[in-house]
Amino acid sequence: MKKYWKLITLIVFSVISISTFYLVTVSAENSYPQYSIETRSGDEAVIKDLVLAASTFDENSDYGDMFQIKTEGTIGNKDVPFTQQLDMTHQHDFSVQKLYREHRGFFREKTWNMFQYHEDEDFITYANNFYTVVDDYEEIHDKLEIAVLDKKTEEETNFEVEVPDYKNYDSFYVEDVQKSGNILHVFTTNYIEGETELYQPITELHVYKIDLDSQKIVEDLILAPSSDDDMDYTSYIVNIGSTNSEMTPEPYIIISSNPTVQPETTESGVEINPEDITMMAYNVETSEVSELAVPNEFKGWSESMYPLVTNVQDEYIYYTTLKENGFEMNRFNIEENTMEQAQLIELPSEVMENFLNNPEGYATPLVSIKGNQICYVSTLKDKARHDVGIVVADLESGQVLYDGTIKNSEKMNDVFKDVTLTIDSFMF
Amino acid sequence: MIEVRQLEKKYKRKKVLNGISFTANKGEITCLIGTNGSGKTTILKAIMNLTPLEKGEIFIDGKALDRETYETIAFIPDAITMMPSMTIQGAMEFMAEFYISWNQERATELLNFFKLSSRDKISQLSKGNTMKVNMVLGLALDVDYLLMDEPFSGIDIFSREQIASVFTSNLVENRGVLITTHEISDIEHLIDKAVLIENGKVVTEFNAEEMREESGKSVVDVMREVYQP
Amino acid sequence: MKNFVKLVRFEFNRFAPIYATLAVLTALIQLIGVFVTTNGYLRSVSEQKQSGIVNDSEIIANIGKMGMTDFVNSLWFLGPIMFCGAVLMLYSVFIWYRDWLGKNTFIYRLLMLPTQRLNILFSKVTTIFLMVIGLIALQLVLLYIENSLFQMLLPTAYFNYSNLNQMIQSSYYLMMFYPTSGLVFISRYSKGLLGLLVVSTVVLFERSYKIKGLIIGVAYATFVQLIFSAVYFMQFYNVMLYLFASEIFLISLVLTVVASTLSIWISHRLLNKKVTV
Repeated sequence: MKKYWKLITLIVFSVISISTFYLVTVSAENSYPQYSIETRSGDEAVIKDLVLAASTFDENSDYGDMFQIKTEGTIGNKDVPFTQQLDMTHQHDFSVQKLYREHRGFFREKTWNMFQYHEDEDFITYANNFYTVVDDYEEIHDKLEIAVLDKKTEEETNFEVEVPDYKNYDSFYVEDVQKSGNILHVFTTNYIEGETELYQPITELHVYKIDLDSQKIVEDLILAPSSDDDMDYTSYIVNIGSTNSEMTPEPYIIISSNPTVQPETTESGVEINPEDITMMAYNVETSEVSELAVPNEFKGWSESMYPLVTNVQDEYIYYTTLKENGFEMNRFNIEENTMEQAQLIELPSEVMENFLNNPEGYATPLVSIKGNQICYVSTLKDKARHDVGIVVADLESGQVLYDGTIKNSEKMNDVFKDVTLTIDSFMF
Repeated sequence: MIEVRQLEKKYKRKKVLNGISFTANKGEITCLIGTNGSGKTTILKAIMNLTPLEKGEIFIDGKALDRETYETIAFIPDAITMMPSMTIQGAMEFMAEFYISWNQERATELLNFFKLSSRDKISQLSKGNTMKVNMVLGLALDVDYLLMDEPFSGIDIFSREQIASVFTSNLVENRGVLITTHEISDIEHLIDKAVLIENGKVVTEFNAEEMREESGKSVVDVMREVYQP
Repeated sequence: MKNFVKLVRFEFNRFAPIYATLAVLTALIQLIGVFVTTNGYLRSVSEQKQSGIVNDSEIIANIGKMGMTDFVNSLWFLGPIMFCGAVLMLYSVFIWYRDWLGKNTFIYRLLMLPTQRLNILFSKVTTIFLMVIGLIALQLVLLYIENSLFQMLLPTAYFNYSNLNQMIQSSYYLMMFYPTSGLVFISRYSKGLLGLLVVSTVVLFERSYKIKGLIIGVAYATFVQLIFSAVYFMQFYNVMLYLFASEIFLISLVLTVVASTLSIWISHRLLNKKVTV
């Protein structure tokens, strides 16, 4: 028996050392920071469904992580079942998580970009650019692949359609998908080979209408051209980048078409004059395109940019301007083609401080609209005294229903207390 | 009884064993005789399943070899089967640990007879003494059969006498011994049965005493006839 | 079973002196490394002070703090680990050949033991595996000790405290040895065990069929490797992934069990019917 002491010592030592490691060190509290939501005013019940998707970065150790924050606390890698830990779906969009949980078979082999999906009561539809491989390496973008899932029968339909005039384009990418009846509207950005005089890519914004019964493209509309006789244009869909639930149906797709000119001050880049921007609404139901009379101060060059945030929801475009005394909200009615009266959501300066004065890259808050409530979330909390602010207001009255902030929870391990927290998206 | 039937084995292109069949009985000393390279060692290894055969069957007391058989048959090859870094004591403890048939009393007795100390390290022993330890490791097992490969090769004459005397003692009396050697002179008088091998086949197999009585020939005489006709 | 344990103890005790040396060497070199690194760092701090930068936070802004998260990527830390890894990898082959080569005919003894010959395979593989685990466990303890050592040697303002998790996350190698979840640990190390089994099978092929055997053995090892790679690469054929990470994990677990069983079975046949001294 005495000959066994070396072996036994080794085994006992190893078992103790390694199991301690896995039981203690790798627990949730020690793996990532723990945060909680602290109410400053208002009823916490308002944010009971709020989920923030956050990421952290610690400059000392180059260590980062992603997790979710709710009123109940922080949910990270250690709090989800093992299979989900591996698939890391809890670090992705909430719609991704929904598809993963409920329709995994349909979700296979498809992108994780939720704008390419559309969900209504009965169906989930998906569109993606498809290419044929020629001669080993060359890829020719010539088709769209479409997938339709009948939620009740779990039946999947898959087909491909050839894109008309595909030879004119270098490539195209699906930006958004909407559906009306059995017509699928697939919005794409098409790239034409070459560059403009100002070294910008040449793009056209298309919508392809596909009949799901006959599985054919019935119409191909150019919503925003790449150029006309005078100007080059770049265009984008305003809905993207401003909505949170990318799969939900939107009745109007808003397009901004921007003529690009040489800037007067610098040699490179482009300049846009807001007066020259054309904003249009594509009515998904009727396929009608109408020009919108949005006042110049609200037409932006790129997606929401500080201090102006743009959101499209149902038949409105919401423009929020950040001011020192609150959020000034201007709502544009798409159907009536008019700007409604401004609404000020008043907030004390200490709350607005969270939304103003953030460094570049973190300046623009996230916005989500649910029913007649609007929720603003600022995106940065770090040791330089920036804090994440959460504000919910009633759209009709402008009354603040809730305002709060994110604090280090008591369960927070000291090691993490100074890390930088960024809010990437949220669900409300 | 050890029974060996139609053993065939190739080594590189040559057929080392080409249909070897013979038997070795319990209570007898059987000697495999052949020139160098005639496959004697291979046969012993094959019996112990230390080398594979292409064809042939081996039965020990009527059964094929399995792991239990190693408690009934022991092999003493021409090199020691223990780690050189071990002491003799360590080697014996190893044997005791794994073999039920290990008889420590007999081992100690043999060590004394060979005038060896259990504290010696195997690597520091002379060739003669190493072979003696090897014999102890085999003889101290209460097995029915002993296989020995060239127990006398390269050993000084006094050690050879010592080893030879073991064969007449009660240590070997009731066991079946299968031994290979080409130094026949040392043990000719001890052999009960001789098996002569050439070119991978058994040329002749006979009982030594009968051969002497009936034909007046010694084993060496028969050998001369077979190998130098 | 009892014979298996006896053989493991035997194999382990044979190598124990070298193993103990490896462990002590690792600890020594890493601890010395802590001292050397601290000295170098403190020298940089005084260089800063001499050039007129007196403020702690300014100095830190220039040269950063010092702690484990920096140390774990240095040669003082990784060197001994690499060395131990190399030694153990070599021994996973040598543990077989040492019984065959030179004057040593100990393999005779092993093959003639009244026990399943498979126990020879199991005991050798288990011994190496246990030694790896032992070093892994030792390193965890060393991480803790080295962290405390830095804390003692450095002024508080300059000491970059990190917890075990952060230390591991800042090194690719540590993340490999200490995956953050117990299940992944089991999966990864059982693949290591499979590797040892495959190496043993290759050795047994060579010992049974010499050069021809070595070629067959290497072909076998390649085959096993390809099957595992196939699971990963097969789904990259299409641009988007067909299998989710959790599904791949499950498949690879099953494959590990299947491949291990195959290796053991092949080794069993070789040991009992084909191996030659």
